[in-house]
Amino acid sequence: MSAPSTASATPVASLQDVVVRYDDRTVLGPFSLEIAPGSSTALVGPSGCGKSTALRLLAGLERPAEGRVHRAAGRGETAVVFQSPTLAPWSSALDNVALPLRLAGVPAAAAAEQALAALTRVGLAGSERKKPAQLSGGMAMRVSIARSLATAPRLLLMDEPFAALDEITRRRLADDVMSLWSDARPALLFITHSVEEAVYMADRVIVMSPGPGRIVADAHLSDGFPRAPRFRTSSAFREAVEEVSQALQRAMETVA
Amino acid sequence: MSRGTARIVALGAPLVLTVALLAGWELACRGLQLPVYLLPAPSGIAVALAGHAGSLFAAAWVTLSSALLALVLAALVAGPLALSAAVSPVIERAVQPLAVTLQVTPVVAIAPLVVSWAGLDHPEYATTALAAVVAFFPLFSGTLTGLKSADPDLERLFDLYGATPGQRLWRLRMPAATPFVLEGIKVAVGLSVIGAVVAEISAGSGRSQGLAWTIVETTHQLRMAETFAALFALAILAVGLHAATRMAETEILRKWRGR
Repeated sequence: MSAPSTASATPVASLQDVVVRYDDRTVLGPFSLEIAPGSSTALVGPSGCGKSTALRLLAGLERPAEGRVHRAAGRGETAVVFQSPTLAPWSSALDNVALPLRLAGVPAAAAAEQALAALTRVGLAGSERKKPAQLSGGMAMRVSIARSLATAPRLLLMDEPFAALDEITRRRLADDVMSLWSDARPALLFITHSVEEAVYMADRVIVMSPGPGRIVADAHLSDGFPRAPRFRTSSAFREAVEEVSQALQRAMETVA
Repeated sequence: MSRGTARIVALGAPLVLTVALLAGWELACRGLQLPVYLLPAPSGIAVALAGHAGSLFAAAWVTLSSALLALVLAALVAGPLALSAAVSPVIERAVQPLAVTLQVTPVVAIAPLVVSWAGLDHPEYATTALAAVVAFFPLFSGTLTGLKSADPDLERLFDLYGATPGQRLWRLRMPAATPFVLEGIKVAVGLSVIGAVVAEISAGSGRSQGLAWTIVETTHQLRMAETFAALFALAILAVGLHAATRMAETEILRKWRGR
């Protein structure tokens, strides 16, 4: 467990003592988090702890009732991958990936070219004309990931992106996201229910308590980062999973 | 049941029932020697159909054309109104109660008024206007519902990338509305025929020449075989229109979602 070398750099985005309330019910906070450039942070916690709310604050999709949100990554530099692929059913895979580029005013031909390149990177060359209904769940999620990468974001926010997929697809996608991520290294925030997934995807794992969410553990796991598939069978992986699991267990007990 | 057999049953069962009912009807008419002005036999109706094919066709065209024209007029009002209501909550609030009031007021009740406004010389104005009134609501509410039906996460994605209102409308809300608009059109097509028929009946005799007018006119003159022939033509018209709309809807949706 060593502190990441990037900790001192200016964060890409940060939350300072933010509190979010829906109808006077506090769903998050007070909560603080800094996302360092080039880092990968996993957020683990039970349902309803406010993980997704924290993500939407960082994306600028929501405003806190209290506290401050700082975003160095501006419009078009932040990308979100949601739990469902969230594709436009009427658009081809290519048009879905090209959408953020088109919204930013990139001409159609250039956008299509970049979108095709992004689809190729996620292994979907040849499927660009297919519509979402013609894709499997895993392929649709790949389109969604390609769309998030198409704009070359500085901040990539993923909200339980693999939750609806089967175990084999999950692992394969986790491997591919890791490898794609290490090419460009945008600051990554990865929300998940799975401790194993968190440990695999991130060099920092934050465990949250049940709602209103607070940070109960903050582990830096720089071993073998960025990760390759063999990390899953290493003792470092098992130890890290054990450590985070215990933190999660303590979090559950303090509430019960 | 194999697929082929299932298909034969699906097509054959209603056919067999129809033939059996017609045969029973024919036999009852002959056996009980019912007078033609009470209940004509199917054979008599068939003769009337063949004998008046030309005028029935012309009458069907009058009804159909006023229903279709009404559909276009209703769409020209409902579409832009639904668009502005989708963009502006104030407009939605203002329009929604009036649209619902128009929808729940029975068309039969307003028909005499509209017919008298149109005047005896132009009953076709009344048929078109009344058909447009009943076709309006499903078009308006289908379009408005559709424009607001986009996946909330897709809406967030448009927020994230700072989409302009125009981009959101054109690239998200309008395509997302397509299935709802098609559903609205399907309902409106059926209602527009009902609206046209109600107006023709309200107009009574005069210069309206549609199928409903034929039905009223022949009933008054106790030419029941022709009444039934006109009813038959009206049913065929409505069924055909419904089938055509459904086929178009299926085809467009297949293209829309790619399968």
